[in-house]
Amino acid sequence: MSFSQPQPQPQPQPHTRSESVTSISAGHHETVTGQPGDVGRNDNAQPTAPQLAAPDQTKLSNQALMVIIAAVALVIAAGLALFAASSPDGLEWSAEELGFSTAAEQSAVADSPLADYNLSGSESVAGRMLAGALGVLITAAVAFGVFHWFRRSPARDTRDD
Amino acid sequence: MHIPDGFIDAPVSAAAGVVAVAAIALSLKGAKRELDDASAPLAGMTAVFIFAAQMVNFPVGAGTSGHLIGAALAAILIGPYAAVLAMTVVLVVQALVFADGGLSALGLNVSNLAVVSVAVAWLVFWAGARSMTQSRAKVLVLAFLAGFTSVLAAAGAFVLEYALGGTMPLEFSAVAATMLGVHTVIGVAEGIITALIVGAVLAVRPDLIFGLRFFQRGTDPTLSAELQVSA
Repeated sequence: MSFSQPQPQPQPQPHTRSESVTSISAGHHETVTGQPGDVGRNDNAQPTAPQLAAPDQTKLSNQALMVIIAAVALVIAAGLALFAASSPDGLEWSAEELGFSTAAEQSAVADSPLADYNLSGSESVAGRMLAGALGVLITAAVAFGVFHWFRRSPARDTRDD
Repeated sequence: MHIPDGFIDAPVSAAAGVVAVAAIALSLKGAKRELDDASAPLAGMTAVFIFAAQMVNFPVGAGTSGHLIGAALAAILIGPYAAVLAMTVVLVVQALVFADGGLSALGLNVSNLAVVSVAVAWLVFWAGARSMTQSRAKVLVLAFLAGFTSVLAAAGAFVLEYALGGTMPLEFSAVAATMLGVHTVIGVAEGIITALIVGAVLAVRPDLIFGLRFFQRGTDPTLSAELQVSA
């Protein structure tokens, strides 16, 4: 799947004091908390207030969330779907009740190798699992293609249209 | 609720195709405002999840079953325009690859399940959010209502299409009563599943839920500060 786009947002840097200038002075090793020091950019060295708006470090990362959703989708499509109810859905049931179900025509792609979520029409468990997994992959390829292509341009301040 | 070929005549199917194409064009434009580098992958994943979830029919009694549509879920998570696109991707893959839903009926299915149901779900959620401050309970209730109404709206759209172009003559009231009746039950399930999934995302990454930004600027200490700033 075409999922490899640049991740422009740097991981939110927690403003820990140890990252500031203090580590440069190798001589004295007591932890000086952001004391205006000997290096050029000492103006920044004042202790920073905790950033309330910074993203919560304990939250799930985007990548982790994507992996979890992908895994859940695969488990559903290739596993849980095996146990799906086979009774007609609401529309099919209504069509039978009202007597217009006979009007249904076969889809033009009814002979497709994945028609009816069965690999090549096999009713085997493996064929159905594979069809579900392939469906997830195909949907992912199309969806990521579409959304990658049409997302807002990453260029700065795109107030266009 | 995927319509096969043969239920609705060609003119109405074609008209629905025009509606679908127009809505997709509008959504391609609108989605650029909803999606950025961070949310575009989530939109793709939403489509993937909905494809998988739609495979799982659950029994709703009386020998019938339903499955998640996902239009409300998508609208709340990624915004209405991106949701139209996500639902369309799912429906196109289903119709072309899995013979689920007819080819000549694709415009009908996109109109009902991607356009009408997303639009109604979004209106319900958005109108609710605008009128109240945010809390977890309100988000879940609105998600339920959005899911419930989206299914009834899609069923209602089919009833109208059948009245205009049904291939077998039937009483309008009979089609309406049967379709809306069974989909009321399915809609409850849709609402529950929508609320459960929105609740799960709310627990781990509320910042990713598009719909939250429309709540009145309020003060729910359980939700992160950045959301309320972005409102």
